[in-house]
Amino acid sequence: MIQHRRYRRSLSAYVDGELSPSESGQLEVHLAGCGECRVQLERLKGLQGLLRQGLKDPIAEVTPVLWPGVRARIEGGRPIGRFTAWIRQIWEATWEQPRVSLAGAAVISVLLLTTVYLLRETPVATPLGKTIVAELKPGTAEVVVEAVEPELDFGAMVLTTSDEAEGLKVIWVVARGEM
Amino acid sequence: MEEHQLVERSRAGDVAAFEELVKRHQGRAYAIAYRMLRNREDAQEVAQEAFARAYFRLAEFRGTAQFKTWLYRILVNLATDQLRRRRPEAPGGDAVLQQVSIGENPGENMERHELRQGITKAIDALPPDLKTVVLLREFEGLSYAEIARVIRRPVGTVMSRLFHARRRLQASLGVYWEGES
Repeated sequence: MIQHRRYRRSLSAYVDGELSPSESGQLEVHLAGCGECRVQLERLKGLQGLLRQGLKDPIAEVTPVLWPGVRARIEGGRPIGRFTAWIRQIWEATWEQPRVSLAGAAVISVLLLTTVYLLRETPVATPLGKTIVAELKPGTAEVVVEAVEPELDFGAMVLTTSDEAEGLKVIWVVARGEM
Repeated sequence: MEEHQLVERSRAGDVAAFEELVKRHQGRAYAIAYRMLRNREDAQEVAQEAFARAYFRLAEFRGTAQFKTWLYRILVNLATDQLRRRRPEAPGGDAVLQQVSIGENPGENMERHELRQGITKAIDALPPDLKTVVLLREFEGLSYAEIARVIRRPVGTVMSRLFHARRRLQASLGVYWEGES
């Protein structure tokens, strides 16, 4: 049954001569034993003839001279894209209606201000000179922040402290907000 | 002059070469547009727009495809957009303008006219995707591979769309069908 359906679907391509020789061969074997597909094949051939005969449309075959219109378009410059046309349409519509343009301007202003407010830089108190409790070997100790690299790309800061016991400078990478 | 030479010259800005390309392809381009839109003014407009867009996009045209199939792609997209913009109750066709030539054999001519109207109606009732493949296959004689390039879909999709389109046409043209067999 599945094979039958598959062959039936391929009849349309068979009529068009678009099946490969092996596919055509298999279909022809099926057609020899399947009356339903043979009837359908005849119908498809009939439909093809009907369409070709019936759509000899005289209007479609009388071509107007297209070049002057094409030339005018070419001389007029590259056509604008759909998006640009859409923006232009909105622009023209709002320009003609002051109330709409004022409302639009108000909405855009509110959106801009909200965006600026949300994205504004949150001031961070610099921890320079601040005493922090740090885990230094062999335990915790209070150290003073001696230098601060304000911010790394990923929102962290680098602090420098001294470990007097070891005689070392210690560099800390601290995520923003941890201080 | 060979077509690829005309394309090259047009690409270099030779408008006369492009005019020659338009003259070579305008007949088929207009016929496709007309069969899709069923309105002479719309068909003329869409065909002219397709040629103009082709001119501006010649840099994108790769010589691997035929100029014809590349042009048809632009044309079919424009015509399909136009069809989709039309409201269903406003088909926009100018079937009213079609005249029946009475001639020497009025009965036969009337029958042919009626048949043509029936077929036109059945094809116009197809969704744009199915209508396009039927027109390209039945009236332009494009191969499945060429249609696939025009509509930018795999050959399997072309096959499937033709199968479904023909099923619908068989159903809607049943009355002529019985008369034929």
